[in-house]
Amino acid sequence: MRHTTVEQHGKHRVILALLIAGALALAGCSSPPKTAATTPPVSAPPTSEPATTPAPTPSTAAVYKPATDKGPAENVPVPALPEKAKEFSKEGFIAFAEYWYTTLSYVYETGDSDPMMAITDPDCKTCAFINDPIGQLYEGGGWIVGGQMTVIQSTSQFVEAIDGSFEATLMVQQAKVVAFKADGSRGSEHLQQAARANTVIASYVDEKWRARTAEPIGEG
Amino acid sequence: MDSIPFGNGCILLPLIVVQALSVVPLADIEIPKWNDASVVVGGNDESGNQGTSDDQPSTGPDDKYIYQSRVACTEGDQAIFPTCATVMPECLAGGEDGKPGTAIYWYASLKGAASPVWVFHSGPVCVFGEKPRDLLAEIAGQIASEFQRLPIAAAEFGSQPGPHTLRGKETNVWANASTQTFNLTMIGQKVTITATPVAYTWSYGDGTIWGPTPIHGAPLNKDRIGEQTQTSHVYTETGRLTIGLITHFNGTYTVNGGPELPIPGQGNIPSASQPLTVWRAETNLYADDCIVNPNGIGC
Repeated sequence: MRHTTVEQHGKHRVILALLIAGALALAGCSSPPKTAATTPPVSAPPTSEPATTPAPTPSTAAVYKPATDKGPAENVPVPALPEKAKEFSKEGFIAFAEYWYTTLSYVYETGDSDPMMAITDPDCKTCAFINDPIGQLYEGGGWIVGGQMTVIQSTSQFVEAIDGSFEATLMVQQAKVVAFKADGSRGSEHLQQAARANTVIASYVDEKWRARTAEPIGEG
Repeated sequence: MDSIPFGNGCILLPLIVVQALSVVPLADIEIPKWNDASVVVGGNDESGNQGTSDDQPSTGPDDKYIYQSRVACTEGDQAIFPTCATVMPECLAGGEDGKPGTAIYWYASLKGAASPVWVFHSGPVCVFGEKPRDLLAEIAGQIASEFQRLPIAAAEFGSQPGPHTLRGKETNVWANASTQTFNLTMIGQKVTITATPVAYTWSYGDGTIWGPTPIHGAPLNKDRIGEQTQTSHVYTETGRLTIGLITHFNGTYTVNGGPELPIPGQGNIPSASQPLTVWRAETNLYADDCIVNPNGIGC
């Protein structure tokens, strides 16, 4: 998954390169380089390593440490789908929808979207909208302070739509987001906003829930 | 940091340009907040206000929320939120009919949830004319009269010395009132009213009224009775008097555990009046010899 993100990043760069090349009218440059994105030599502080490579982190002795302006969060617990969230029931579906936002928090804290995409359709647009830039940021040695999602309330009528999907509605609030670049300077910053209704649309296939999409609802 | 590999046949000059620019998107990745994600799916089913006024943030049939209004820009709020400064003047100036509006915050909860969880939605906004379709506003309208009907316990009070005192001497009075809470149900909502004593009006019984004052005094130690205190009074006439006290309570209320809101007006609770007899004290010298002066005092 992480490799995919890098490739996408590479594509963007290639497009940019092509644009520049075109602008300079240098036709000889039009053949795109085959491996545009070599893995950058990450010059991030050493503290960033546990967060960017969560798998080998020893889970027993690891103590979670939230991100600071000095470095990313450490030993962020990898989201694990609760038993309840596997059930085909209203409660199970609501648990699944709530769990989805745990995986979104995890993306903000680690740049790793694997747990989210393990339970979500690959063409989820809102997912890509978040996962791509955050994945790039972490790949490049940057990190995010905050961004965790809090589910305040959740509900579902648990009525199957014509296409076989179910919809849950959640009141969700995101913590303030501050992005840091690899050199420690500040990037994007978003203040905490009021909680907002979100919808999770999912279907139950092969004994498990799979999100088609999760979106904040309207209001600009 | 990154390098574009060579070997694609480019001449050097554009390669340098590309290299320089290729760092830019990496360094300045715009990190979105989750709420921005709604942009990529093209908005939602909330078609906006279909109502006739700004009573509710959205009245569309597909609205996911139910709403509550809460009184906005109370004194405490005005010190915290700069938006109050922009909303309040307009609100107090009045709407089309010239009547001042009410500043409110909207709170929202998900429609259809087992039990509502109210979270701040928007505001402050000023509501004119039409009554907000909201229980809180109704409660706000009734809370003052409800407050007046509460069985608030009067303050205990007393005088020292008492119930007998002396003309020309300092008589100390003191009150002891307590903060009281009341739970009641209004329009099906749980309302908790807190009454806090804030001021006292003393009636010394000889026509002297003092107050309202925040000073409630305190009982003196026995060995210091007769000293001047903040609440003490000197009687110039003897007589059988009654002294009285009115305690003024401020009220606040919360609805369903929401924020604490002020109740307009005060609860003025009289304590049962108490008798006080003011005696005259005479000082005489019992030194005369009654044989020499048969009219001497004590003879």
